[in-house]
Amino acid sequence: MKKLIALLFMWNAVSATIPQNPRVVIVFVIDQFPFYYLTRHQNNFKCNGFSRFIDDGVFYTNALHAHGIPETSPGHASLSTGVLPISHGVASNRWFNLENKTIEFSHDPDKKTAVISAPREALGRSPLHLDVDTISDQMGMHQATKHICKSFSVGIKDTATIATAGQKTPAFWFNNFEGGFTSSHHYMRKLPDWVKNFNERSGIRKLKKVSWPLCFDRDDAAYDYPFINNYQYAGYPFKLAGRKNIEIDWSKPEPYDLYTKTPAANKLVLDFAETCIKNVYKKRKHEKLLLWVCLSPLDLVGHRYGPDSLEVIDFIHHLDRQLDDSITKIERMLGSNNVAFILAADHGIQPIQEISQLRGIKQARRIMAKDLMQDINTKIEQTYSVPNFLAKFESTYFIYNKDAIRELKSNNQLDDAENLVKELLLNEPGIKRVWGYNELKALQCEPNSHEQFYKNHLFRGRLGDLIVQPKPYCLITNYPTGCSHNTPYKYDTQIPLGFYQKGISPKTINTRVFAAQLAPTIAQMLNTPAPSAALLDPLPHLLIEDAK
Amino acid sequence: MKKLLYFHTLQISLSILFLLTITACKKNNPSVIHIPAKTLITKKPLSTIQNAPKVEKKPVELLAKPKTKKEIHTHNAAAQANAPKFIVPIVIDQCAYHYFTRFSDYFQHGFKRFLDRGIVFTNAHHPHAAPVTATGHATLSTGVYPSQHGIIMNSWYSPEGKLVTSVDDDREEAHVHTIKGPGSDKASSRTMMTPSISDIAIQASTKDCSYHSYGISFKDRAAIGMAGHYGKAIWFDEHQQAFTSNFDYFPEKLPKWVTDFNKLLPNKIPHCRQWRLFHKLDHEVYTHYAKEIYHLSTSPITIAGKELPGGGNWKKLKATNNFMLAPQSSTMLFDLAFNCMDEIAKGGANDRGLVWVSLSSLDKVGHMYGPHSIETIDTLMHLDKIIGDFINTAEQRYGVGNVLFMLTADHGVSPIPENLLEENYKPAKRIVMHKEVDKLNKKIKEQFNIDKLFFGFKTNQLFWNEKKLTNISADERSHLIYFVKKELKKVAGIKKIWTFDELAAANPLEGSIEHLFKNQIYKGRSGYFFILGQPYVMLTNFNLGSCHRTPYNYDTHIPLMLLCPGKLKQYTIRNKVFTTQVASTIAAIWNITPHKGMKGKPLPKASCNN
Repeated sequence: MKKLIALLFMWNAVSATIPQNPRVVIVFVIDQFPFYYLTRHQNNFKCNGFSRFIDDGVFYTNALHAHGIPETSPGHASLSTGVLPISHGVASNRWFNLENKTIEFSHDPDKKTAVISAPREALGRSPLHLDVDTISDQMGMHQATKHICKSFSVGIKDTATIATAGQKTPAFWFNNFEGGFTSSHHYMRKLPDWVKNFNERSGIRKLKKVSWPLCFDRDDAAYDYPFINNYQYAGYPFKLAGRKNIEIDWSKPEPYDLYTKTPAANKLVLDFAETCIKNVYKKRKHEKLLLWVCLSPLDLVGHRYGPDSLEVIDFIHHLDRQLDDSITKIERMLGSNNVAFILAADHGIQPIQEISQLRGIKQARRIMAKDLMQDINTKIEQTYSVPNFLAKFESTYFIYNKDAIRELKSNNQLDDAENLVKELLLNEPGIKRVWGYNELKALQCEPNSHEQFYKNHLFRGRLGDLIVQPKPYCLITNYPTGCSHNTPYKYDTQIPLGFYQKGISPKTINTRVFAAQLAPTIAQMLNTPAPSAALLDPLPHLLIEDAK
Repeated sequence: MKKLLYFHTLQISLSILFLLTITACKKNNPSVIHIPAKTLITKKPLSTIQNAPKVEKKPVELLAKPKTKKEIHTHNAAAQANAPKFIVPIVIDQCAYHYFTRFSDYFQHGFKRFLDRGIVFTNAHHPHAAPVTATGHATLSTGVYPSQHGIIMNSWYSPEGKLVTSVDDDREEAHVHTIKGPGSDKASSRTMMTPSISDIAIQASTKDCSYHSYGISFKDRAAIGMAGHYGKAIWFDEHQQAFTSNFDYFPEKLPKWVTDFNKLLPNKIPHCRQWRLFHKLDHEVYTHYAKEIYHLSTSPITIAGKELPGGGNWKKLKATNNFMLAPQSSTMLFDLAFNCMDEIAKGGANDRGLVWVSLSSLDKVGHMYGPHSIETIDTLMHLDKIIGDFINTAEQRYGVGNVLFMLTADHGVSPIPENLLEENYKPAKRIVMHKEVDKLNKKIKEQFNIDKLFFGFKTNQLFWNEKKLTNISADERSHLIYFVKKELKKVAGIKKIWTFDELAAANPLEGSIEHLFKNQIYKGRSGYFFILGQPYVMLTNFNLGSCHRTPYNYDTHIPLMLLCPGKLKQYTIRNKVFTTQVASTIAAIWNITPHKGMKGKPLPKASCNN
């Protein structure tokens, strides 16, 4: 009888935990996957890709990226380092130097970091701008002959893979010029044989065209959504989903441009991930593996066509099927008890503003940054006779013209001019708030408020001079079509976060958690040190106190 | 989602089954009810019983008979009697948590007991930005932040520019005991501004139940930090080569068990100087994990497995202190701890002893050779065995369940940055701060015509001479601060600089890095500029070796484990906990009322009362 009681106690205590510490952790980071995609399409999923995480795993329904300008590089870096942009330094995808020249997060002027076999590329690629170490770096430092901790990051975008890999562990991304996967000399002298073999065997380099078949019949309930055919607002005015002959046009500088926007590219990354596991994981006694799989094609599609389009909806169903296949394969390859899968995303997406308006959200508007800047610059020139005061717009901030600043400063008119700009910006109906950099820095605000989310980006030199918060469903942008994700609202910041391992007790957790809690959680799962700057708790109710 | 519902139903039905089982048990086997009766016998004075918090009726107890007032009292007393007689926190100096993720498979003795049978906190942190020895020990024993207990660093500059250590005291009572009366060295607990758990326990003593507390270490700052004011600190005096204490702790003379132990030292010390490797040299823990990086160490030769240079005459200073580097030296501290515990055991049957033991040898080799050296690894292997032996012997002598063992550390350690750089972690860097201070002083002389403004750099802070700034205007002062910040930020690897005033005024988020810095400020002891480097950037005054001065996980994340077979259940707890919770945990286990400043909650599951 006592045994039974003890057993019951044990059973109670270990419920809702990971059954045993996994030795392989695979993180699928879907680029641009807001949480609402799941609630919207959940009933139409016919495969077991997402529902593995939602129904059979531990699933967080309120996971947020706690930064106000959710983008690819900051999002991936937050997932891997466990800290916010203010600490990891990737405040944005790109920023401007003192001469107002663009600096991309992953670019490195050092010739030693050149991309392997890409002579046309002048700039190298490295995590030069990543200020802190990632969970993968910790695994790399933890490695010893008998204590094999491996980590890899594979994906389409260099930014995504470098931000998740960090300094020490290799990142492989898609070579847009030649096809196949490549890396930079920062990580390795030459590509490993298994990468070269994959590039050859996959036939990607000889590919002439690719097709995008629809997942289901065109009249399936899965596609029964309004606005799926509004190509007039899309970045590409043509249909991509369902097309049979999407050409890889070698006359263009980036021949794989359209290829990387198809589910086939997504499949290629997953295939490459499987090849990676097969080749690097030898199933030795204490061997551990962390693999980041950065699935970026959906982002490239989403920006052009928007979340309501046929392209995105079909892509989600393709993803569902591909994830299902991939997880099944990997489990078969490694033995299902040892491997845990994580579903995460780097940011969400806002619907195309014109479609939001059609839907009845009257406040939705697209604010063209160029027009806005022109208006303001004219008025500033009239008042202070200084031309081109606002020089650039990026993400959600403006950069001042350095010459104009100097001139205004010498006349003691800078504050007045700044105030005038703010006033003019706030006249625009879609703009909610405007802060100067120092103003935002000094701002006192509630923790986890939108203001705090913006403050989490403060990084001198990597954030603009004037930061603008638009109203919900509004967007300030440089592009006349398509959509983006630069706001602190839930459609941009709320992401799915799910854990699946065979034998895990299913649980849905509704409390608010943050994407930056992922890295400390992985550290606990793999029993490695957490990234050195990560300060947050591991995710709740996943690894609760387990009685031994 | 359906499955979830199914699980809930299952859980509910099983719980009902469970309750039914218990009732069945009780009906069939009346002895089950009487189990608590065995523990009813108590000799607790009434006063302690009344002080104890009242037990509220819980729904779980529905099945039990409604309790009378008397029964509630006896229940509480039973809980108190259930608490262990001894609590022995073992603080391993510089034992970073990453040693436990790396070597846990190789621990076979004491550490394994803790890992397998204890409550293991896998996410325990020190809550301050510059984790060092004195600060870590004081935080563990007081349960408050350094900004309250005042031991912000190992040493700091006085406003006059004099280097002050954390145990400095010029009073007569601070002199150490020697055989010939007061010695020349001085150390006391005067700088500790809040009571430690030892102080609180000793004050809670009653006629029938008195508390004793001791802090035993080679380092004075560690022993004093643990013992506090009323506990007794016993440390090793390097001049007389013997364990000693000051006249605050022992106004007349050292207790006999210390002086008796000192008499044995001349035989014990030479024995320690022989460093024998724990395993054979070709054991995989050395061949796979140890890195040969002696060109980056402060000592260019390996000492693991060697006889430590000490010369024939062990009484000579410096040469003889080498014995402390050898892992075997820790046995001495545990032998002394046994003497101490025997002494407490001789007292009243209800007396209780809090015996802190701090082991310093890992810190000494860690600083010299870094965390990846064979010296560090072998020390850990030895400590595993030494602590295992201690636990076994203590359980034999005082009974299983009568001693609660705690294992923790005062701080972690960073890898040697040059080694990281060699291994392709590019941002790693060493910034030799005394050179930066010299540069800064020179530039300030040119720009502001103030000579030698900065005293120097300590831990993570720059100290300046406030007196030289009395003549300048507020504008000039803020200009100067701006200038210093700008100059320092030019140094690659420096991430952020706060001034004392900024930190004092800041209202940082709980748990943020800024919060860790704010936890460390203390007027009159702190420097004016607080510097944060990027991860694996080492701000130090030394050209070689390793250290621990950052708020990053490799320095703040430490092991924390509790072991008391039969009284504490086994758990692994992965939520973040802080070392400020240790003191209140000890208070909770012994049912002592902690003082109001101790904000840390007792550690989860660390309770002997259930």
